[in-house]
Amino acid sequence: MKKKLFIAVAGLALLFAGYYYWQNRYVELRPIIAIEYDRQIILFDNSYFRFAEPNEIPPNFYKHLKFVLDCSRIDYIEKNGIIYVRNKFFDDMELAWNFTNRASSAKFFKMKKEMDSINGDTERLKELENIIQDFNTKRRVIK
Amino acid sequence: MNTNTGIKNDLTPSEYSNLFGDPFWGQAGNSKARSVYVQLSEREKAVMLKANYVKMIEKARERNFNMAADCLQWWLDGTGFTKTINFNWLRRQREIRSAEDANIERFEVDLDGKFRTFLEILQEGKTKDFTTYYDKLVKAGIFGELYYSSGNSTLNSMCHFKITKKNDNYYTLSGTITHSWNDRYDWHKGASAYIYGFGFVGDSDALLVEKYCGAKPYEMRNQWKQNFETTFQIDSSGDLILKLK
Repeated sequence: MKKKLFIAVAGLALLFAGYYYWQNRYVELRPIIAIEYDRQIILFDNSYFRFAEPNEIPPNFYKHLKFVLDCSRIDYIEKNGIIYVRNKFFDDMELAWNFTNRASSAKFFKMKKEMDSINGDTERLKELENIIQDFNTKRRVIK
Repeated sequence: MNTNTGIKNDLTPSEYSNLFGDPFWGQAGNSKARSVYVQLSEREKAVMLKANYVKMIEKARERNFNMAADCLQWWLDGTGFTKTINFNWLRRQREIRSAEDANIERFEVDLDGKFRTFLEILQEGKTKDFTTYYDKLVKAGIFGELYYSSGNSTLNSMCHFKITKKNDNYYTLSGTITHSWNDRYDWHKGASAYIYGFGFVGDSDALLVEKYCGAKPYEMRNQWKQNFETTFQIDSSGDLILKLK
């Protein structure tokens, strides 16, 4: 009986350890894109989103994303310019999509610059200006 | 019924049923009519399909889906101008209200942790501005008019708060949340939608109408503001106790 109990408890502990490891391992944070409406019946909210293909990643995405993540409390590491987050971050794909949107347009950075200038925070002003400049240059190139 | 060029552009309802069938009642289209349709040139098909969209507008108005009809007409008119959607109508759609609530809840729970980072460095007695935003994908349900007017869309909610730290744990908040709804009225190859009375209509049909009949995609948008004035606190366990609704 004791042996059975031990096996059950050990099995459960192993299961939890596995789940804990799976949720907390670091995985690459690729941009998230909302799937264009294809009018299928969708049961899970996360199915409305997908990971971007390598050719869909906007230029300077990771540089901008790093700034966005620094403003939040998301746990991340950076290796060779690529950002890795804990796997559980993707439990809420819509939140991950929000981070993608913030890093892909000048809106977030302009908003942050305006807020910082009102509050008199100049700590990251130069960095912010550089990022906004990135977007302006990109727009000129596209035009 | 036929024009001088021999292209059909004024089909009667029975002719639509002949050609496309009525999937709602499980009726298939007439195979003979279908085989004639298949042999038509792209331009001829586009003219016929445009007539089908005109019919959809008519049917939508019969069902009192006037916004859906207006949007489809705007696309057929082909100006490409941005259409401002009445915000009273938008806020009557349950999907929009639920997206608005979801975004407000995100501010309340500080989903990305940005607000708590801001509060940590706010000094007692000081007032500072806090701004951030969240995007919510609005998923239109098949039974509502929003499905026919827009499909999926985005609600962006941006807050502009003035936060004052009263003492260690208490704060006052005043400011606004601006909700900006937007969607591009366009079509995607390979997608299709079930339209009551017309069955599954492929987006490729609409793309053909754009190519030959001058219909054009456009942006739809509107925004509205909500004012807030409240106090909140961070409890002993470090949790944010903030209620905006």
